Amino acid sequence: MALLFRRESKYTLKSKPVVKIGGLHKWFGKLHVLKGIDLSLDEGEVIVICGVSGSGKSTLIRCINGLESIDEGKITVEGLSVNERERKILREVRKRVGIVFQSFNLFPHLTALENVTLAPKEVKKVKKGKAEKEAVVLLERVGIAEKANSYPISLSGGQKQRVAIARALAMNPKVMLFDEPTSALDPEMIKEVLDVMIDLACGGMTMIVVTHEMGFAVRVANRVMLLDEGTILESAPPEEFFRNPKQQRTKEFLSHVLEVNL
Amino acid sequence: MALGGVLGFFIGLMRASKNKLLNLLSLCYVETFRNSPLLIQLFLIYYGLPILFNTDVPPQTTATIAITLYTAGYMAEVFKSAINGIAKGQWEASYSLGLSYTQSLRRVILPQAFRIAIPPSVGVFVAVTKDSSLASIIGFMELTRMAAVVRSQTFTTFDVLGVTALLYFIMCYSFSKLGSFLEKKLEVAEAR
Amino acid sequence: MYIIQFGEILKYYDVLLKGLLVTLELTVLTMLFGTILGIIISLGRISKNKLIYGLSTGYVEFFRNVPLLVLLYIVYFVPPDLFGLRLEAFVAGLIAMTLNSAAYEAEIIRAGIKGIRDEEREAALSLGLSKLQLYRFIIIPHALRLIWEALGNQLVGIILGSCITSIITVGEVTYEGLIIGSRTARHFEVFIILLILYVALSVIMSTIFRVIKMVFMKPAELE
Repeated sequence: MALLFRRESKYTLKSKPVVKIGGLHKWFGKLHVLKGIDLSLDEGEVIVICGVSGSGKSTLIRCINGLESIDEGKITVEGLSVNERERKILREVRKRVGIVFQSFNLFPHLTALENVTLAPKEVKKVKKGKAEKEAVVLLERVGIAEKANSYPISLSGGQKQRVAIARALAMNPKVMLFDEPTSALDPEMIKEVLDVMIDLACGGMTMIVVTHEMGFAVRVANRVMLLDEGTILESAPPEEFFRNPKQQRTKEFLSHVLEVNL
Repeated sequence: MALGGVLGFFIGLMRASKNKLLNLLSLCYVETFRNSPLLIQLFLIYYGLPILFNTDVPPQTTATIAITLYTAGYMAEVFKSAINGIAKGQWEASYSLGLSYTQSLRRVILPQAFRIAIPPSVGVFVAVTKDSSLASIIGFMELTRMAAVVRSQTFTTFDVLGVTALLYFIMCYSFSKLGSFLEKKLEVAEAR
Repeated sequence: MYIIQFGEILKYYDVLLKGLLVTLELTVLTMLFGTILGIIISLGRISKNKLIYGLSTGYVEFFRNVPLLVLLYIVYFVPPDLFGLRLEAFVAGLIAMTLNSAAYEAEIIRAGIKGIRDEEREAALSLGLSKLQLYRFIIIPHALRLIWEALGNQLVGIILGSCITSIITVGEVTYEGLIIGSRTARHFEVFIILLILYVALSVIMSTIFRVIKMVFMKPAELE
């Protein structure tokens, strides 16, 4: 695959890690889902995580913003610890971490605009007028300003996901998490969402993306990781990952995925 | 109640039909019987039938007729929802094969609708059983007498008996409801 | 031949009006207290605490399976025997109807809360909303829209249920109607009028609920 438009790394040696995960273990009952994850994400970095179903990718992402509890190990976001049962600290973490879900999860009783302005108004106490102005800017950025007053039920999947992205961005997060953002979309709509994500990455957003869209990884990722049975098997810049995979499992995985994607 | 179910079925068909007149007539029926208390309906029929037919009517007949009409009102809605709930594609498929409205209804839509109608029907029957039993209590106590009794507060025997009867009733009803509850679970399992 | 004459009854329209007011009073109060109690019980029904869950489930099953009339008798006739406390008819009727209605409302509310997918909650929490904010902006508005129709039906059920309290001499419209009937011996006409009144009342209430939904609860469909 030709590497066009390779994104310029925006991070320098002096960058502090935005997210730091150390020795993360998680069990679901007897099932050991995450087996000692260590990960460090610097400002401006984009990491793509891939792996087969059940490898723990979603769980890992959900641990970062506290949607899943941590059994062992430590996660910090901008210095704030995510382990704490402290609600207040968790809320602070969530102000800094934006997440986009596979099933969009928009609030159906609110318009697109209201979906986007809810959190800034209530959590950051931004005034209504200001929040709405900023929301419109964001909706324009993701390309659906004209649907601002529509309800989610009248939006297509791609449109809903873009609103979801705008909603997460409205909180001015330091890092954006994406949990298989295009898996639930029809093929025609995948591109419009990926374009928004690429745009975001080129703008310097720190991102962790769980996806199978390898084209995306090639274009903007600084590192690609394979998560297999709860551990990070391989982690490398895209060229290395795709051209010279070191692990057998990685090779198997790639041959499987690339077959489908191309 | 069974009669009510049958009557309700036909009225439900009327509700689901495209014929404006049938629809309107059945709508009036349904709205009247669902939006008024069974008690009033009972009394109305109790006093009204003798007038209409100029004869005395035994209370059992009154009760039967009233409950039938009452049940029918609710069952009509159940059947209407079931019929309307069948995907449009079914109608389209059967028309495309050349079937008429009646044939489509009989052969394609209704069999499916019946299955869908079972759970809510059970709910209706349970509810009507409760309501209708109350009616029978009232039947045995002539209303004016009761009002006098209650007002005078002197019949302590009545109170004691009443309490015993009530406790007995609670038992009965709770168990019968449990029975219906289990029945419902079985029905749902079957319908799958 | 019995000739139907409404004139006799209509002379008593003020009595009927008085009864109607009592009916409305009973209905509104029952809805109010029933909803409050229903909320409390529905919280019990979704609680993880075994005791609280058991108690609230017991409540719901009991009050949904014991007919209202039986309940009325209990509330009105039992306390005098047991505690020597005689409640006024209206109060007894209100208590019985509230207990009854709360059981149904608890289930309706619970259905509404459960109808909101976990993912929606997760999205809200991920945005940094507190639990209180989650309830205020997401769960309550969404649930309300889901259960609105059922609440309307419940209100109609209360109106129809109030009719039965006449047996306990609560002075609502059916009771007054019965008195008029026995005075004028024109029972049939009385009940025709009562029928019309109840149907009208129910239909008006249903319509009000539908209008409120159209006006205040957009969007028309949620999913």
